[in-house]
Order: sequence, then C-alpha cells, then structure tokens
Amino acid sequence: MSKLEIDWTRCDAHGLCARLLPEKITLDEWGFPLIEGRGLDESIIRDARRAALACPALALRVAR
Amino acid sequence: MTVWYLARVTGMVALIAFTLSTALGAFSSAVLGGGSPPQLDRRFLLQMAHRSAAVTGLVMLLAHTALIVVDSFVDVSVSDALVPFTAGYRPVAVGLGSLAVYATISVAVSGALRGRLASSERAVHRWRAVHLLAYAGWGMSMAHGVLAGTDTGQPWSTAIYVVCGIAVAIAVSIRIRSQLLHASRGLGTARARIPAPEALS
Amino acid sequence: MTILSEPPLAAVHIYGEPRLLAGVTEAGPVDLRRHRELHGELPLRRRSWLSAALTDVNLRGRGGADFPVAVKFDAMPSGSRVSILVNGSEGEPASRKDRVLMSRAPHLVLDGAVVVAHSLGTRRITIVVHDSAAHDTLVHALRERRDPCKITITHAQHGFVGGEIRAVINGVNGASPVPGGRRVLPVSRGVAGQPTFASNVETFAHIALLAARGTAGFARVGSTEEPGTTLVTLIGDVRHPGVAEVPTGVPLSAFFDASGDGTVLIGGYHGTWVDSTDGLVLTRARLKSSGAPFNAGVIARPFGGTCVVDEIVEVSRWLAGESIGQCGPCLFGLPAIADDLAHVAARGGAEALQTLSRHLDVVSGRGACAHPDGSVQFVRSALNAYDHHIREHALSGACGRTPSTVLPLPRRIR
Repeated sequence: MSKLEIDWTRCDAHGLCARLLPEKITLDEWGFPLIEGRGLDESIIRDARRAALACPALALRVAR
Repeated sequence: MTVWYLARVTGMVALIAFTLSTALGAFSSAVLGGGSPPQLDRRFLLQMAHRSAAVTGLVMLLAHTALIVVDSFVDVSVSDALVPFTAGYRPVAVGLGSLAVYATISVAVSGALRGRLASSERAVHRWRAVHLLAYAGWGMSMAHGVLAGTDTGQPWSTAIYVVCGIAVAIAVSIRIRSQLLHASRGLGTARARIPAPEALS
Repeated sequence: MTILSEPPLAAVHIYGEPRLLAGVTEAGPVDLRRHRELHGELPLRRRSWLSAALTDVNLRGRGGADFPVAVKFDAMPSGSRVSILVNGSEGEPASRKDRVLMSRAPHLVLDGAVVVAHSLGTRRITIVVHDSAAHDTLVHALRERRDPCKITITHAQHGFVGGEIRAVINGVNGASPVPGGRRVLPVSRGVAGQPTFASNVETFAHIALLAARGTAGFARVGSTEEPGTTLVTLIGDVRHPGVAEVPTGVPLSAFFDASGDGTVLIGGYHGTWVDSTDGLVLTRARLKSSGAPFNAGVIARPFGGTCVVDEIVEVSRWLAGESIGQCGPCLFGLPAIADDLAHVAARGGAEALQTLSRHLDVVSGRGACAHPDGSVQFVRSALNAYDHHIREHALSGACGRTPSTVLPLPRRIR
C-alpha cells in the first residue's frame, strides 16, 4: 500500500499539505504536519499526489 | 499580412504571460508568514496561476516562433530560428529570441518534472539552478521584444514593456528581501511565524 | 561551533578477566610491544572466517544501535573502493568508555579496523575522534605500526547529534555534519559515496579479540546469547565510578552497594530511568526486552535522598540545545518539553504535567534522526520512575532535598 512520507529536513511548516489533504494530515501547534494512520486508500491517492506537488519545500512524498 | 500581425500579437501575449508566470514564481518563493486557511487557499491558487500562465505563454511562444518562420514578410528560416544570431533579419534581436526560447523550454520541462527530479538535496539544488533560468529567459524576451519588435516606440508597446518590467522588479525585490530576512538559517517560514523560545540558539 | 570541555580521564575497573582493558595501567596507553605480548600478532582473517565467527558469537554493535555486526558485515561488498569507518566521536556526554579505550588500548582498536579492512579487500580506514587525548594517543600509536592500510584519523567536534553515524559520514565527506533527510545506510553509500562498514570503536576492539582468540576463546566468558565482555560507564552511587569492563550476563546489582532498589538511568541521555534494577541483567537483548536498552553503555545512579528533578530539567535543556535545527518538531518541541518540565518542577500543577505529556506525544516519531525520540524517552521514563516525586514538585514546588549533581554535562564554550 502507498504511504505518505515526510522529509523533515525540508519541511518548513507551510501548511499546504494539511489544507489539501485534511483526511490524513493535521498540523501541530508549530505548524508541522501530523500524519494520520499508516497507509493511503486508493481513493485519496490523487489528492495525496496533489498535496505532495503543492508543497513549496517538496517535503512530502507519496511512497510505494 | 495577417500572419505578420498574428506573429506580433502572439509574441506580445507570450511576453505578458511569462511576465505573469515569472512574477508569480518569484513572489510565491518568498517567505509568507500566514498559515490561515484563506491564505493557504490563496497560495494554492497562486501556484495554479503560475503554471497556467506558463502554459499559456508556451503555447503563444510556439505559435509566435512558427509564425515568424512561416511568414514571408521577414526572412527568418527554420535554421535561422534554431541557431542564434544567424538570421539575416535583425540577427541580434532574433538571436536573443532563440536563446529565450531555449531557456524557457528548459524552465518548462523542469517545472513539469519537479516532483520527479527533486529526489535528493543535490538534485534540488540542480533543479533550482535550471528553473532560475526563467529570469534569464524573461530578460532576453524583453530585450528581444524591444529590439525586434516592429511596434517599439508606439506608446502602447512601451507601456506594456514598462508594466512588465515593474511587475517582475517588484516580485523579485520581495523575494530578495524575504531571503535576506528569513531564509538564511533554515526553517525560515516556521521561525518567522513562531516567537522563538529562549532555548533556541 | 561548540567546543565541549574535556574532563580528565576516567578511572578504570575490571570485573573478572581483563580483555579489552588488558595491560591497562595508570601510566599510559598500552604500547605496541606490550600489546603484541598480550594479544599476539595481527590476527588477519579471511572474510568467510570472520563472517562465521561474528555470527557464532552474536557480536552486537557497541555504539548504541545494537545492530548485529555479522549482518552489517555480510551486507558489505568486497573491494578496494570499500571503506572502513571507526566512530570514536562519543557524543554522549555521560559516556567515557570509547575515549578510555582509545586512550589506553589504541592498538586493539587499530588491529580491529585493519582486520576488517583486510577481510573486505580494502586499505581505506577512517577514524573519527572528538576527544583530544584519544586523538593524540591514536596518532602516536599509528606511528608505531606498519599496516598495509591508508588510515586517516579525523579530529572533529560536532556535538551530540553530530556523532550519529550518518552525520559523521557526511562530515568526513566534507558536507555539513548533520543527519540527512533520507535514511541511507552506510553499507549502501558512505565515505566517498562508497559502501562503508561503519562501527563504534569498541566494536572494532572486540573484532580484534575475536580474530585473535577464535570463537571458542572469545566465548569463554560472558552470557551464552552474547558472549564476551562489554564496557560500561558507571556514574554516581556505584561501587566503581568510571569505566568498567564486565562480562556480559552480569546482574546490574553487581555495580551497586545497597540492593538495587534505587532509581537508575540506563543508557545515557537517550536512555531510560528505571525505579528498580531487580532482575535486570547486562545483555543488550535482555535490557532491551525489559524496556531499558543499553544504548551507549551508561549506568547512572543518583545518591539516595537527593533530588534529581533539577538535574533532569538541565539535561532536557541541554538536549534541546543540541538539536541541529533541521527539523521542526525537534527544534520547537524539545525546548517546549524542557520548559514544561521546569514549569512542573516549580509547582506547575496537574495542568503543567498534562502539557508536558501532550508535547512528549507530539514530538515522538518525527524528525530525521533519533534525537527527538531519544530525548522523549529520557524525559518520559523519568516521569514514570519518579512519578511520586515529580507530582510532589508539581503540587508544592521544591522538595527540600539536596539537589543531585551526578549527571555530567559538557561545559559549553561558544
């Protein structure tokens, strides 16, 4: 199953990922992402890819 | 004659579209403090606008190039267009145009493959280096327009160049200011938004 | 850059038969002649032999990750481009074992590195050291030898997280000595981008012993699952403070005078506080399954009747300051945790405890290296082990007991 991965050294708390994929990503008090659960359902993979592309720091990845 | 007019129009429109894309690109890379939902939505729309403007520009640019070659009013052959500074008609101006096209295509390809190309830290640096050719491409397009453009000197033409120049200048100055203020230490956006606790060095 | 001040060399004690610390005296390092008298000639071995031996004795890495050395060794390709990295950075402030080993028995470490290099068909060895005395001893020891290897000794000071193996390798490669964002194992890509066998100094010393004595000889002492000896740094209310060599399988109560029912820190500042050492035995597997992994091999026992709370707050502030600053949850979360803890200690009440707990949950599992998780483990286990005492502080402020001063922290010179 695909899953979301974060490159923490790039993440700069822009917050776009949480806005575009609220079912899976929420933000902590400092603005950094918290990922819900492990895998990604087929139904939200497209939204996940869109969120990954929208990240200004390219910190989010949809991995196999 | 229609072809000739279309060639000039598509050229101008391409320049305006790329000006918009370049300015939006510079502006979005600046550290933007806010993270509220409306601000994020706006940011996402800016990303879309940046890409749409770029695509529009590309379509116009390819049309412009094709029309110039096809048109019989000026003598620019396919090889004249492909090899910079070899045209019989205004070689410097046309050459700049050719270089601008090459730069723009590199920028567009890097943009399209952004997700896949930026796989490691080093790859991200290289990707950025290629994508920054956008500024060079835009600059050369402006020079090409002024030097090659038949309408140069007309007030409306001058107005377009001035407005385009100002737009990119403003966007770039915002970007540079943001770089100087925030991005020097990493985690620029997060630090800008959160008052630093005293334990942070 | 942070320069850590270097405390004087620790006292040394041997429980049972000396092996790593054989021949070690107050006078100085074991020189080459004495080393060869004690351990014999350089025990070069073939790859297949070494692989089987490492598997048979189940040698575990001594750097903190407790990785099975045989698995790491078998994953390596052979060849002249391959590299050996000896990690002597010992960033853990409470640990002294690595610098003692390097300063007192340098030839054992060097033998181990050469043995591994030879078995993999390479001549490239890099040793990274932070401590000046250890560095100088190694350099001097190298001059006594004639190995067919290119041994580079790098003297670097990179702080706690900088001692993490990927950070060390990045530093050796000339890049910033920080862990990268993607987890690439040294065996895939390490020094100069080549597959690298990277291990702790003590691990290499054990490999030298193994190569010299063979499986049977090596496994004569210690527990059956993890035979041999191990080094441990003992701090505070212990029989022999300093660095000790101990056969594995020994019960932890052997280190203490009174019966083991005082609270003890096991593993260092990414380690675990336990409220009793009853039933705890010194093998890495048993300690891990008991929830208190051995990590960098530190055992610290505060003196009875003292209050450790302020010390723990100080360590948590130090841990926060050691954040490289690459990852948000670590950079912002660890200072928040330190602040929360200080607040709790100063009569912050149940609310402060809840905030602390929330922050501990939020920080775990995020970040590019083990620093945030290790720091959370240190604080969380302290909250468990000192539950009553910390609640006392939360409700009434200072407890009136003498503050404990056993936990060492480096003095920072900026």
